[in-house]
Amino acid sequence: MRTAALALALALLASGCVSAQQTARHSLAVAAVALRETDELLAPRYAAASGEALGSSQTRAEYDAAMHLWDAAESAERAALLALLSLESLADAWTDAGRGFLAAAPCGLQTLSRLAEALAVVGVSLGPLSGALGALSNYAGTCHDSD
Amino acid sequence: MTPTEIARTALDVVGALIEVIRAAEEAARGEDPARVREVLSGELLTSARRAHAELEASLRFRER
Repeated sequence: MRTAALALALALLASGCVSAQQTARHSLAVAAVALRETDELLAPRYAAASGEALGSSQTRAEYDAAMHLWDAAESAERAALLALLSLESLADAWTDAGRGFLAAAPCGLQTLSRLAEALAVVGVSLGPLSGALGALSNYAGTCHDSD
Repeated sequence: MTPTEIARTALDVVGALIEVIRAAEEAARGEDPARVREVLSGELLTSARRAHAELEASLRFRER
C-alpha cells in the first residue's frame, strides 16, 4: 500500500512544477520501497523452498538444481539493490542536464524488470514491483551496459 | 462478511487513504523523499536466507 501511495505521489509530481531531479529521487524511493516489500515477500518463500529442497535432495547437485530458480530470483534482487544504489549516487551527482542519471536509468529499469521475470518464474507475487515498474516507465530506453 | 470484518476493512481503507494523502502532501511540499540507502539498509532478507540455506546444504552434503 505504501508503494501505491508513493506511486500516486510520483504521478502528482509528474503533473506539477517539480524539478526533474526531485522526480528522479521520488522514482527511486518508489522503487526502493517496492524492492524492500518484494524482499519481505520473497524471503519466507525462499526459506520454505530451501527447507523442502534439503529434505528431498540426496546430493548437493540435486539441491542446487532444486534451488536454481530461487537462487536466480535472489541474485536478481541483489542486482536490483545495487542498481538502485548506483542510480541514487548518480542522482546525488545530478548535473544541469541530469545526463548521468538519465543515461543509467534504463539499465536500472531493466534490472528491475529482470527481477520481476525471476519472481514470476518462482511464482512470487509482483504486487509491489509492478507499481514501481509503472512509476519508473518514464525512464524506459536503451541500456548500454555490456551485460 | 461479518460486521467485525466490515469494520476492519473500512478501517484498513481509511488508513490507506490517509497514507496516500500524506504522501501526496509530502510530494506537493517538495520534501525530500526517502533515501534508497536508508530504505534498503542492511542485508536483504532473501540474501540472508540464501546464505543460511547454503551453509546448511554444505554441512549436510559435505564430502566424506
